[in-house]
Amino acid sequence: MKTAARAYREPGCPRCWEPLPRIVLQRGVVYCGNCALEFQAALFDPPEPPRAAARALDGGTTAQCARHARNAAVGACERCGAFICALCKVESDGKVLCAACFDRLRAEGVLESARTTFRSWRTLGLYLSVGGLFLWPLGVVIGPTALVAAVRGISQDRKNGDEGGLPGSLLSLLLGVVVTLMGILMPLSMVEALRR
Amino acid sequence: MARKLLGTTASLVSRTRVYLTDGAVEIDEIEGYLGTRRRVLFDEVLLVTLDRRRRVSSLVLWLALALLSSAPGVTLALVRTGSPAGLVTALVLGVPFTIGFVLHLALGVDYVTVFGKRSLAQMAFSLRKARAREVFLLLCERVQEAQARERRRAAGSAPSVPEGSTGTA
Repeated sequence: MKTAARAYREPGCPRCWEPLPRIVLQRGVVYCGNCALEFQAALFDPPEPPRAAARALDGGTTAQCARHARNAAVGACERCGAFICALCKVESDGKVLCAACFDRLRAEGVLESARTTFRSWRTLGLYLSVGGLFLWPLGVVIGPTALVAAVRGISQDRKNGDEGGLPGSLLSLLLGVVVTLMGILMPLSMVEALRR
Repeated sequence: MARKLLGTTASLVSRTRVYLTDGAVEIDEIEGYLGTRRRVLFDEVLLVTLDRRRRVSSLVLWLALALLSSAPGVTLALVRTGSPAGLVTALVLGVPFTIGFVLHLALGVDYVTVFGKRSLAQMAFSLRKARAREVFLLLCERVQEAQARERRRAAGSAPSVPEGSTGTA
């Protein structure tokens, strides 16, 4: 998938990624001559974004964009207050921002919708809990860590509105408890056995 | 922001989960426990496809696993002729992978792919063929609605460009 995402140029075959012309794709059922895959295609014609903004009226009766003096302002940035035209306006997380403020907030990681990297706590919890079964001597450390990661995973899924992640998190919780108990009880039982 | 899981794909090193949100398809690519999130906005979708394929590499892998796992049982059966233990072992260990091979050969894997202007999303459905078609139709419908809405909005707020102007800022 990562290879496909990096190699993506234009729409085409979903297997070999060979670009195909629109006239071929609009047939509905398409045959790729490169890899012999037959697939069903639904072609769309997305609307082009506006390339012009309304001009500010001569005589200064309308507010002008701070960056494009000839364009009429359609609002103000909620962070810095600068007037912005339709070209500068960025809507993100329910806020109206200018381009500079959007870049700043994105770089700071404040904008949830602009965040592109994240830590999957649910996956980390699963790895720790399963790994802890094999590394049970370290169970007193790995087990509670897996539990914390699983709880954070549940909270992360709730925040994202993810459905279907709960079974994985519950499994890590269960295994985290098992690993913790193994880390405590197995050394104790070994010591007890040695004493006898 | 609620999102609904549409489907997943997986490779040796990463897992990809594709979600449906209000205005886009979100792709979470997780390598280890670190994830990267991308979006394909509905009003930028160019193409949605549905296809069924049987990967030669998957078939070879299933077959190799079936042969490897049944090898100890077969060896035992050859060494100890007359004893069913070897055959039973070969069957018990090899049958699951053989079933996987046969299923993949017979059913294939359905893929739904969404191509946007800058990125794409792909989901795989091994056994749930009806689900693959359902997702394909759902995405087509959502994309059509979003693009029609965007066209109406653009038509309603089209700026009036004065005469003699090039129309650029």
